[in-house]
Amino acid sequence: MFITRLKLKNWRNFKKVDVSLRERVYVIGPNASGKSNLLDVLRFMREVAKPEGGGLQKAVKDRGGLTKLRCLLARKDPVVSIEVELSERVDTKPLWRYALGFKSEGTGRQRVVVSEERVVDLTIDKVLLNRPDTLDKQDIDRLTQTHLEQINTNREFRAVTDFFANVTYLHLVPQLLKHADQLGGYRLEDDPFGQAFLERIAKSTDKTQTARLAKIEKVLRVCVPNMRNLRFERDKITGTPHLEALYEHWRPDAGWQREDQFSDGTLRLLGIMWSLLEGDSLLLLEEPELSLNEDIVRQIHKLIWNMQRQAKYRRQVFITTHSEALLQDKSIDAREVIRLEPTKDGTIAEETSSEDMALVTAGYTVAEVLLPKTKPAQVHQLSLFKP
Amino acid sequence: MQRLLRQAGYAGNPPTFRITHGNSSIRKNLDKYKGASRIIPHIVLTDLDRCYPCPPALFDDWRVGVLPPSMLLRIAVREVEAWLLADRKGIAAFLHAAPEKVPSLPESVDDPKQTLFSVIRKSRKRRLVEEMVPQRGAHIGPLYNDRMCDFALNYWQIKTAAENAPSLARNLLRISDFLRD
Repeated sequence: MFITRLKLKNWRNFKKVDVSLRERVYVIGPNASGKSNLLDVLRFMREVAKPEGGGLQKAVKDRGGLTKLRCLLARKDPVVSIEVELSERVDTKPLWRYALGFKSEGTGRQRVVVSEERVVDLTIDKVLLNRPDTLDKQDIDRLTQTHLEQINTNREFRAVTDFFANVTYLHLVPQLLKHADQLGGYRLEDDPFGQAFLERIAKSTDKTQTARLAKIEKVLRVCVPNMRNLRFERDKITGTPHLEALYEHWRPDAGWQREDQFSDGTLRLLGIMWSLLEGDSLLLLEEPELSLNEDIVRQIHKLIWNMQRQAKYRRQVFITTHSEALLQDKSIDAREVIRLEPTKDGTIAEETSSEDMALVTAGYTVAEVLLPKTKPAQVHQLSLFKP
Repeated sequence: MQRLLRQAGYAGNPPTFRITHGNSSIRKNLDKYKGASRIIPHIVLTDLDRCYPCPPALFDDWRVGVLPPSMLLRIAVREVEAWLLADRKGIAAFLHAAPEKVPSLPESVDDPKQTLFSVIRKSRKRRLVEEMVPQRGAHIGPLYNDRMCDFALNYWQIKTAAENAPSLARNLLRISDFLRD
């Protein structure tokens, strides 16, 4: 399933957001405009829906409490709300609408309570859940949990729960992977920085492993031309999982190298591609252009498209980026870009305007039309003077 | 550009500025600008860049042809620095140098940037020399752009400059004509 519409109220630095989304969503905006905060909405929903150790209370607590979550500009309205529409594919009628609103209790322990939770099955236009209901009014404690997080109550909309619970966030930090031994065993929950990336590969069955690595190797060869035979191995003594690849060398068997000798860029690409092939829910990628050569960055869109096509289940991908090279790809649909613009009244998230769409049709690339709008005003003037 | 537009009487939505980094890319994208100007009016500003003796030569060589009425292609003679130098008093005060050191007809100077550097070298402030004049092997000093932008945005007297720089005056006129239509 894909998220085809996202509505937010009072979420971090967004006072109000209402955008429609496509198979790939490129989130652009200046530094500190809230790109990561936008992705965090979906990580938040994952934590709420997660079967083990999740839930609304934990998701809020992990983010430093409601005061950190709620938009500073929300004065009168204390409710933070999130609403999504899920569809099987883009440009079709959506299947589900899920809305969640929550606020501080206002008295006593100031717990976080659900102020609204609605699930609509849009195929039959039926409201499956509309809280607070009479039971909630009798027992206020019920409002500290969502129905999304409870197996007993989410039976009718399990698909929605599963979708959120399987959202993946990846911001692979190669150094964490390379120096895993020295850094010790501490891992963050859900592994956002790819520390346990190799274990994830290890967990898949041999057959899928080989198939996926073959697909990845084929693509990777374009970017790292002298690399061959990407394979997965376990250390014979300690049993720790490793990735290996053969680098071309005049002595035929000398060039086997393990992941700690791969370049940062290669590792990041590997992580991105594996994730695209792996799950079936939304994938959140933070700046995939990091540590990559600009010519490779230019290929990222194609690579994502290719992997989405080859995967068993097509994943929707959200990508934050600053990269001009990435957005210069002429095959990027201008509708795939969401532009964030900080204003005095919070950041606004905008879809590509019809005027900008027309400019793209006239021959501009998405980068040329949209990126100048994400630059701070003063910076424009800097390059007036040619060196 | 921002100052030019304001001086020419522009009052509307904040425009989008696109910086193309180089004449050749403007030349390459000319058709694109022609097409896109049907959607949003385009003002394209470039300079002669020492390859062409005069603007008509550039028009010929680029095969500009007929422009749609919503597109304006203007050419600054030589470099944008010449226009800034044209406000003699202003730039001299900004750089703490004597106004006589600034050439009176900057648009006829062959290399305005080098002229600007030589003005800065005569500045009473050592710091400015360090900040703006390039080391050997570089094109500009580290804070050259920042200082010049500051000048252009906040100190530059565009009217005075137009009196000394005929091409600036012409451009202003044409831009305000264009904006009126």
